Formats: sequence, structure tokens, C-alpha cells
Amino acid sequence: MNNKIIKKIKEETNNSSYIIYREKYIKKKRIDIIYHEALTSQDKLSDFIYRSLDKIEKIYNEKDFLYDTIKNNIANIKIKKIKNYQDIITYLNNGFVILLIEDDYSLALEVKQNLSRSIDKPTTEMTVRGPMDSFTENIETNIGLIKRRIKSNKLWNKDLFLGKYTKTKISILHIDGISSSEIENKIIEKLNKIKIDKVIDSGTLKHLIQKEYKSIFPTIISTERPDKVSDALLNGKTVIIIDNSPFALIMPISFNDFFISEDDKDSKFMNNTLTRILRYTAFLITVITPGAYIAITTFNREMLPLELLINFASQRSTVPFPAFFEALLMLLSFDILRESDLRIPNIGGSAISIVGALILGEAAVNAGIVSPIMIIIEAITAISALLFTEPELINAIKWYRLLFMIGGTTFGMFGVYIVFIYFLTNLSSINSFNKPYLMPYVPLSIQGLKNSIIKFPLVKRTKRDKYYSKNITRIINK
Amino acid sequence: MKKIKYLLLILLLTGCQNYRELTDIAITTAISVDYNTNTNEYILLTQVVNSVKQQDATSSNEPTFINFTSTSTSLSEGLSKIVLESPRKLYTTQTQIIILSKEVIENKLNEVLDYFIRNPEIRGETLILLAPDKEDLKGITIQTLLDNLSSSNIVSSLKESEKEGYTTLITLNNLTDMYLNPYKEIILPTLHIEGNINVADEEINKTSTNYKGTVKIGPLAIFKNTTYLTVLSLDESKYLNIIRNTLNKSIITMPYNEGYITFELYNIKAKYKPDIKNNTITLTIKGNAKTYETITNTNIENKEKVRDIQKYFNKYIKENVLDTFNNIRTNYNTDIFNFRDIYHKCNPKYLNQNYHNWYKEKYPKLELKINSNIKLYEKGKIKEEIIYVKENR
Repeated sequence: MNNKIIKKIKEETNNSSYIIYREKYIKKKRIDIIYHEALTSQDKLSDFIYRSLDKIEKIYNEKDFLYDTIKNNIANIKIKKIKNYQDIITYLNNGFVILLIEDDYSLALEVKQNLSRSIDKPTTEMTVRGPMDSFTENIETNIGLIKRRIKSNKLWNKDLFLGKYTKTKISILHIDGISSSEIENKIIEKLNKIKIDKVIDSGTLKHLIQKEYKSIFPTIISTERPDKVSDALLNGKTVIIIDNSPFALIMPISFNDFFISEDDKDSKFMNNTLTRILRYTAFLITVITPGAYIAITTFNREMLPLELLINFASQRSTVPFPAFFEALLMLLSFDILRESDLRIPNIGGSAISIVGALILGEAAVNAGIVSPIMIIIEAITAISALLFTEPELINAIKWYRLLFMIGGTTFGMFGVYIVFIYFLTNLSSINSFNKPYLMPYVPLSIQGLKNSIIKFPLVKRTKRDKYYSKNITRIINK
Repeated sequence: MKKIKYLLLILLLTGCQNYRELTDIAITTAISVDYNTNTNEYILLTQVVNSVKQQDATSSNEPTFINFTSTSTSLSEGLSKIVLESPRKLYTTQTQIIILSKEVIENKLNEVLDYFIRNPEIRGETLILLAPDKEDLKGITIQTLLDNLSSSNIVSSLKESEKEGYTTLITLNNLTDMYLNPYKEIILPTLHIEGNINVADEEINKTSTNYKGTVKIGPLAIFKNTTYLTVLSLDESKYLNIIRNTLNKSIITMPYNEGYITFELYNIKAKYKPDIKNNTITLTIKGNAKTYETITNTNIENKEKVRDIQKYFNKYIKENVLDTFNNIRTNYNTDIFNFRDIYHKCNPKYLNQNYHNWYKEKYPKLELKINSNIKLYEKGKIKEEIIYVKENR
């Protein structure tokens, strides 16, 4: 029987050199030890499994079942009973050692090697104050980081494996009593229908569960901060953790969530309100400024004071291109610069900044390709976009910026208004898992408003948002 | 995504109408209009900003603006004819001032107002000035130093003069209102040139410490219908502004006790109370004043004395206002005080009955009663009056 199984494994794996087969006899009973060399820890194997088996050989009574004796005496915590051949393959590929006992049940014992890195500082979402840990590629570590913050039995999870080849583990979390498992069930239902060969990262999963073509704005936030995830869970949201990805997915979300940073928890409500207003203003600046500039200088010049108009005219007097082309040129060059900055290793960073500052800035003005005012417009546009950490939001902003520019070039400020109306209608028609995207503004939610563009003191925010949570009381005693 | 197709369609179907790059426009800041009664032609003079110059204003000798002229029988044709000379089309939305000559107002005000009010590229807030002489129309060709553009120079000077009470700002909208309203008469601020106009439009005007030629804001000019009557004196302008309730702040010097006292007036407000039965208007002037100079032998520490000065000052204002009113009425018989308008607002029926004999009967017999109630509230930095202290010690 054992030989048959081994032969089949060897056939399926094309006789892989990484799978080690070893025979051992306990009182003439044959045990086949099979494990994957790359996934298992050799130390654990020799320290616990082999030593325990040697001990078992001494105490084993031939009248007993060998399976039971091993199960009772082996020095390993995670012991799984193997029911069929498929189990053997699954456990083998997950860093277990398989003990195939002749004419008896077989066992799988976990001797996984730690293949992930340690917990590092978050690199994409920095905060000045606040926790400095971030998710890793290991799903157990990630769950641990969340569990360390929410020590409650009500943190429920449902697991599933996705991908024909990758068999990626996915955990869907929510807190029972605060949010319902409605979204969780929907996601599971959706994922169960999908047959896909690979799920490598959270991005793939994100596109599987949201309607990618519906809107260019992100309806899921991906984060590497366990504190952000815990906070979202406690606000009645659902979180997906996926193995091999340091980014967790939070849903449903609202547009307002992009304007809230983890740093906000540290700052007083008055200061924070100012910061929030600043973020909203920055968003409008980064989306509208180039379009409004083109509209004002080519159509609605009467909006400018005379002195400013003369300044603009004198600065543009040497530029032979239309304002739209000039703006497009600068936006393009900045985006190329930014994209290259993301890709190149750190050593090349200073070279990029020299090229950006000198060539694209000063030299382009001196050469008469762009006007200095356009550099200022471009700079404020680009800097304002850096306030947002979600890359998908930044990409959406880029599209709308272009649309505003077309509106400004073709129809002046009226064009900008038309695009703005389109922008608002589009934004308000988006749903994030059946929750309105423009919450708490549309529909109006008083509880949500207390933590939006204005922020109320913590003790005044006693209730959760009714759209996200069925249990809305957050603080009982003030 | 379907909607975006419609959006782009809407935007692209506009055909970029009215699209003009900044490099294609000649920013016009001032227009002066003259009318030749012999040839029936308008003579236009425009001030256009030299936008290339502004970039390096200190290094080159280029002027900051250029003047273009044209003549035509119609205003719109005249302005469009300027492209024959200028490489760029005029952009008139930012026009700050329009200067009109006497001849234009007397002969062609109807046409000029119609063109400027109808033109969407001219703002209703554009300031209107009168050039009493033909030479004064060239005020927008003069090189000035503190403001690079002579039009800005004129506007700033005009606004400051208005704050001091020497003149009144009249916009295109105001002028149209004064022209169309049958109960109002036209007044306009004036400008005149001092010095040598022939060198004032050259760089030398800016390189010497004294202007070779300069533009000065003058007092108010008064009209009856569209007939030009006269330019008032500066003092008359001030008192006219008090009566018209357009003066807020001013400086008035009053002879007192063989010397004089200068007062600065603040928050001056005039209120009318018409008594149509007796053909009387009661004007109450309220406000505050403080002494600036007290060149007189008076003990101003004495409260009684101060009260005396206040009383005397109110009397002085009352007399001067009345003098101005009587002077204008007897000499020119024009109702630039808008009393007819006040009567009309109070009792339209009565005024409409007497509209035609207003200047013959009602206006010459109108009695103006004045209550001046200006409070003296500050005496300056030092308590005592210097001449008084020196002579009594």
C-alpha cells in the first residue's frame, strides 16, 4: 500500500529531488516518512519527530495500534489524521511531514519552516505617532497582529482556499455583534463560484470581488497597518487577509475614508478638523487646478485681477504651445518621473531628483517650452496628490485631472463645471458592497459626519455609523 | 463608462468657441473716445499692455504699454480697425477707465453708452472720466513711475481722491443710470494734464525726479441733460459730495480767531426729509471730526471753548453747503443734487405733475434747510494749543 502511494507521488511530482522519502521500522512495522525539504525545518524533524519515534520504538507494544501509540507519544502539537490521498498532497505542500504507517491510519505532523520575514515598520502608510508594526507575508502572523489588538471571541473568521495551483489561504474576518456576516457570506458565495488558477496577491482577489469596470474609484482599501484593520473591524467593516500578501483588504468603504489617517487619532479634534479641511482642499486642488488654469487663461480671463493677467501674459509670451499642450507636457513628465522613482532602486533617487528639478523645471522654462506659472501649477497639483496613500485613488485623480483639462480647454469654466457635475454624479452613484460611497454626506449620517471633514471630540462620538453597523453604541459611559 | 462618451461629445461639440491664448490678446486697460463734429467721426485712443516688457521691466528701455489710435464713424468698427496696426486683437474686458471728451457727451452719449453697455467685453464697473480739453484725452499716453500703467495710475489716484472727498467715482453703470433716469443729472470726475505733454509720453518722464508732464484728477464736472456746464472747484466738489451723501471722509479748513483750524471728517452721513407741501428739503448731516491743525490763539483745554469750536464748525459747514447749493442753482439751474429723484421717490404723482415746470417753478423756489450735527471727538496728540501756550506763559 505504502509503495503504491509513494509511486504515485513520485509520478505526480516528476520524482522531485526536494521530496524526501525515508523508511523506518518500529518492531517490524514499516513507517514511511515523507516531507518536502524546502518547506520543512530539518531541526524540528530531527529534534522532535525522529527522537520521538526512537522513544516510541522502546515503549511500543505490538498488540496495540501503532497509529494510536504515535499519536499519544509524539512530541508535536499539530497532528492531523490523513483520510485520503488528496490529504497527503495538501499537507505535503504545506510543510507537514507525512508518516505513512503500513496497514494503519496515517499521520501528518507540522514541521513548517519559517519562510517569512519579521514584522517590519510600515513603508507605504507612515505615521508620526501610532504603532510601528505592519503585516508580513505570513497569514498566521497577520491574524496574530489583529488578534493581539482585539482580544475577543467575537472576532470571527471564515477560511477558504483559492486557486487551482496556488491553493492560497484566505481569511475573511468580522466582529460578530458589530457587523453582520452578510458581506462575508456574499464574498464567499462569489468566490466559490469562481474557478481561477492562481491568486498570488491581494490585488487579484480585490478585482475578483469588486466590480472593476463600474467606476475608476477604489471601493476597497488595501492596507498594511494592523491598527487600521482593527479599527475598521471595530467600526463594523469586513476584512480579508490573504496568505503571501502583506496587504489586507477593508470593505465596505466610503470616499471619506481616504481623508482619514491613523495619525488623526493622536491629534486633538480642533487641529484635526483643520487638517481634514486641508486634505479635502488638496484633493480639489489636485483634481481641478490644471483644468481651471487653462479655462481661466484661455476663456475666462476676466476672472483674474489685471496685474495677475499681465503677469501671466508676460510669462507665457515666449511659449509657443497652447496652454493645454503645455499642461499635458508637464503632467506627463512629472508622472514619468514619479513612475521611474517608484521602480528604480534607492541609489538612483538623487539622480532622478536632479533631472526632475533642473531639467524639467528650470531648463524647460529657459528653453521657452513651458511658462514658470505652469511649473507652479504643476508643482501644487503634484504635491497635493501626495497626501493620499491609496495608489488607486491617485490613478483615479489622474483621469479626472485630464477630464477637467479637456473641459477647461473646450468650454472654459463652464466646461470645468460640467465635468465637476459629472464627477459628483459619478461619485454619488458608486456603491461599495451596497453601501453608498459618499457616506456620510450623501445620504446624510449625523454620526458619520462627526468624523468627516469636521471632527468631533472622542467622547462626543458615542455612536457608530448606522450604515455600517447594527450595534451603534460605541461608548456607553462618558 | 457610457456617460463619459456623452460628456466628451458635449465638450468637443462646443468647438472651442471664444478660445484665445494669452499670447494672442492685446490687453487693453484704457480707452479714450473723442468725437469730431466736422467729419462726424470718432477718434479712439487705446492703451495696450506690453506683456513682453513686464518680464524684465528693469533691463530694457521698452515702454510698458503702447497706444493705438483709429478713426471711424462707428465705435465698434473703430475698435476693430486697431488690428490694422496692432498684431493682436484687442481684449477689452479688463478695461479700467474710459475717458470721454465734452463733444462725445454733448453729441454722441447715446451711441457711446449703447455700445459700451451692450458689449459683453466691457465691464459695467469700468470708471468713466471726462476730459474737459482735447489735450487731456492723451492722459493715457503718459509714462508714469509708481504704477507702470498710466491707466492704473489714474484709477489709483481717482480712488484715493474719492476717499478724501475731492471727487466721486462714476462707473459705466452709474453714467447709464444718470443718463436714462429722467430725475437725475450727470456729474463726472475730470482729469487734466499738467506740464509738457510732448515729452510726457517718452522714457525721459520716468528718468527725472519731476514728471515733465503728468495727469491730475480734477474736481467734478456738472451737466444739465447732456450739456456741459462747468468744472466745480475742489471745495465745491466736497460740499456737493456732502449733499449727495457720497462723502465719507474729508479734510476741511475753517478760519477761526485770526488763525485757522483744520478738521478731519469721519463717517459723514446725510439724511433727507422732503416736505413737498412747502417745497422744502431738510438735510441732516451727521458724523465725527477731529482737529488736525489748530493754528489759533485758543485754549482748547477749556471744554467750553471746544464746545464753541464745534458749534462754530457746524455753522461753517452749514453755510458752505448752502452757498454751494445756491451758487450752483442760481448760476447753472441744474439739479445735480438729485432732489427731483428724492421728490419722485417720496411722491411720484406730485413730481410727474410738476416734471415739466421743475426747472421753471419748483426748483428755483426750493428751500434747503440744513442741520449740521458733526461731533468733535479728538483734539490730536497734545492737549494744548501751541500758540496759546506760548502767548499765555
